Amino acid sequence: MLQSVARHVIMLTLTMRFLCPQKPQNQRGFRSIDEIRRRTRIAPGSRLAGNWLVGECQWCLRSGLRTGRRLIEMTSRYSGNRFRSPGRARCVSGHKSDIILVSTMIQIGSAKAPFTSPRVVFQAVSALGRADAMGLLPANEHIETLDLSSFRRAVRHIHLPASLGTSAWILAAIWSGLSNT
Amino acid sequence: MDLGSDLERTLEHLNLALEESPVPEFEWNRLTDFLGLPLLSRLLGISAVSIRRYKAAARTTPDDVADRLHFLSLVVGDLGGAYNEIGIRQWFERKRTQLDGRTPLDSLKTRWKPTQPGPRRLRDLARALVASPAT
Repeated sequence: MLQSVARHVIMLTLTMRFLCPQKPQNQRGFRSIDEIRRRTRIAPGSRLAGNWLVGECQWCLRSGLRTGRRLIEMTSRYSGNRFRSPGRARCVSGHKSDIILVSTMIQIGSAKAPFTSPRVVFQAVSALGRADAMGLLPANEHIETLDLSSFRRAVRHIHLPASLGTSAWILAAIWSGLSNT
Repeated sequence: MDLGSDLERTLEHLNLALEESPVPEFEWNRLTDFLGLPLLSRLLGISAVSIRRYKAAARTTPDDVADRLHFLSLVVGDLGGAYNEIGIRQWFERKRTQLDGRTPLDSLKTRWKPTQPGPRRLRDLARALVASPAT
């Protein structure tokens, strides 16, 4: 049973980089951010952060890449009255790419008491998996050994009071249950 | 009552709380990361543009969409016990004998509701993946 449990995984978000097919070039620079957006297919809603234009690249959206999220950073420096793109305005240098978030699995290596009964493990693993999929656990949260302290630590991160307001009584029961255990 | 039963009951409460509490403000980001915009759009039966707006809180997520989103979060949470991210995405597009040879995606017709038979069967199928190692 524990071997099966060990296969269960908790998501951890990592950042990986892939190539982006977007390579528009404009040696003369652009007069406005709007022009950059128009001519480079950076989706509306992009924003300027320092020298970087951050937004979604519409080329990438159509490229068939199976990406969870496409965050494009386009080099563009403002000089004179133009946004100068040294060589090109592109998705993070065209080759530098978009950033793709990949969820990776962390294995639960072992389970300690009181997580020794199959039914308890089932409930615990369900709760962690659900909380993670609902985005209630912080990124980079992982559990190597399923025991009471690691479980308590994970549950503490769940934003139950704010988001699950109607279940306040359940929350109280959960905390008292975990404290008494 | 022994320690194990106490803990089991506590965890049941936690699962119940999670199951009955849609939190779209968190779920949009997580599910978009997991499934990608195109697949999520097909699963929910709404446009990618709408998803972007709901995700950015430019528009309030309607209750029926929030319900569907929450349903998908729970399914993805259950699938996470057996598949990695790519496997989860593929799961929705693979034919299943338990679904009469249809794909999970086919079971989610336009404007589906979590209480309808199709989605419920899909949910049971995903749930079975978590239950199997523990029983």
